[in-house]
Amino acid sequence: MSHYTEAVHTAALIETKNWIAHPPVSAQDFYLYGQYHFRLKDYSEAFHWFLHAATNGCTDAWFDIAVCLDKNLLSLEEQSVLPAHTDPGSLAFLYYQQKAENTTKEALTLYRLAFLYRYGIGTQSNPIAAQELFTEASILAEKTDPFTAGSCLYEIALYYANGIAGVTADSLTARKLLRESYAMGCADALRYDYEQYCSDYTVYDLQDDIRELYSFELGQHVRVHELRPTEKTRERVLAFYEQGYPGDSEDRRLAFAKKGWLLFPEPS
Amino acid sequence: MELRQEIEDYISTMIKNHSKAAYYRDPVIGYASASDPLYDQLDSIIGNPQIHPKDMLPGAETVMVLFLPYSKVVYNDAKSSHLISSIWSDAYMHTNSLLSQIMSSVSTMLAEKGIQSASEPPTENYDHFNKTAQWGHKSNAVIAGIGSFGLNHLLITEKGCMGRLNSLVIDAYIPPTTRTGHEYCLFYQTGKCKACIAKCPSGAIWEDGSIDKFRCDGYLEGKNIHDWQQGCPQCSLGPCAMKGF
Repeated sequence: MSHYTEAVHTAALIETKNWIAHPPVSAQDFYLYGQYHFRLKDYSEAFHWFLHAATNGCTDAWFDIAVCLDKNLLSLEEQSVLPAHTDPGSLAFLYYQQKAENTTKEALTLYRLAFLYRYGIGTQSNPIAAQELFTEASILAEKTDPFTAGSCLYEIALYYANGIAGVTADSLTARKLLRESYAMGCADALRYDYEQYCSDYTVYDLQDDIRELYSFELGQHVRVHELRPTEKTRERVLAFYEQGYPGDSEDRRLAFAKKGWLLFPEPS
Repeated sequence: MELRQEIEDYISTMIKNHSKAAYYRDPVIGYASASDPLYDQLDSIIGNPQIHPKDMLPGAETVMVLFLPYSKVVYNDAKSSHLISSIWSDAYMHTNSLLSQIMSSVSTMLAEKGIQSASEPPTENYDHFNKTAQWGHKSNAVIAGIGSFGLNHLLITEKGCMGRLNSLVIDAYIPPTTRTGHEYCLFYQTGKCKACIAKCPSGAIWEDGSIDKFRCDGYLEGKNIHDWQQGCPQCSLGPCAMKGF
């Protein structure tokens, strides 16, 4: 396995045993338990626990709920359990805005506030303010919170990749940041690097990493679909099969896509 | 009593007395000569350095290989369950433990007769990053003639491929079992079947006989979040699950 999948798999084994031994009992536990499920890509279960945490006083959880909604990870039925007239994004934005102004600056707070500005969640989109906050958060997180630092670098890389908010598009800088981000545990960075910049798989220098990441995430999605099948979970599994496995020839890509349809047919 | 018979009786008794005996059929046991010339060729056949039995145990004469085939209890549950099979996972964990216990007990029994032995664990004896092992239980089984590699890259024996393996190097002579070169895999016999290719959810197995270990392993690691949720038995659930051809 790659260092990334090794680390994530090991963490999942440890966390699973821990939650079996110590089931969640407090609002903070509910929140952490939700994050555990989110990392396993079990978004329905994650949302359930985030909501349980948020309605029991854990304000941080509104951010995670807002992300689930923004990324369209939930079915309408699942979303329907949200309390009426509740905008998780606005609640998260107000919370992190106040927290950033009133307390000692924390990397995670700044990253989350930046994320809300960047994608216009709970506030007007403001990519310039977001970039400043991502940069500040990445510096704060560098030594103490590598995952947050990696997430910040990924977002900053997208500015250079796409020429956002006055930043001149610069693929060399973007790729350098993406590689640094991946080294800090951000899988999105590796996927983006491969999908945007790899025109020839045979010379891609992280072949084993991208193949393992692809299989690893497929395994995660299949697990969730087997445990709690919904149309959303099936869509996510099929997307992997249809997208094609890194490095496969056209024949193999077609065979892989067909395999998805055969193994995960439409429910009768 | 002959040494071979004594070892096999001992192993059979341990399996029959095990709390999960219902998971197993009678074992398939083979013996390879530690001087078999195939051991000298394994590095090039497999493509990475292999430990020679005589490096593992000075004075080695015999390599005993034990294949413990699963029963229908395990097969039926794995076959019928689209979800992670709890019995399959349970069997996987208990079998690894049982195989280690068997090798340890046989070693002790042999030591009382002044015979030295050495073994590797039935699992986790490989490099996770390169997906290579220096001691292949399956290779030993093929050299001992109890099976052949299938298209699924599992060992297929006369009792199929659904089970687990271990091996023990011994510094006493036991006549080697015959290696006939028989192919137990239906695909390699007839060019048909390919059930393992169709079943493999990660698409790791190909008709040209290749397997992408990164693809298989990554999928398993993503799916398995607990020791008791061993993720995927699919490639061993074809026609060769319970019998070789």
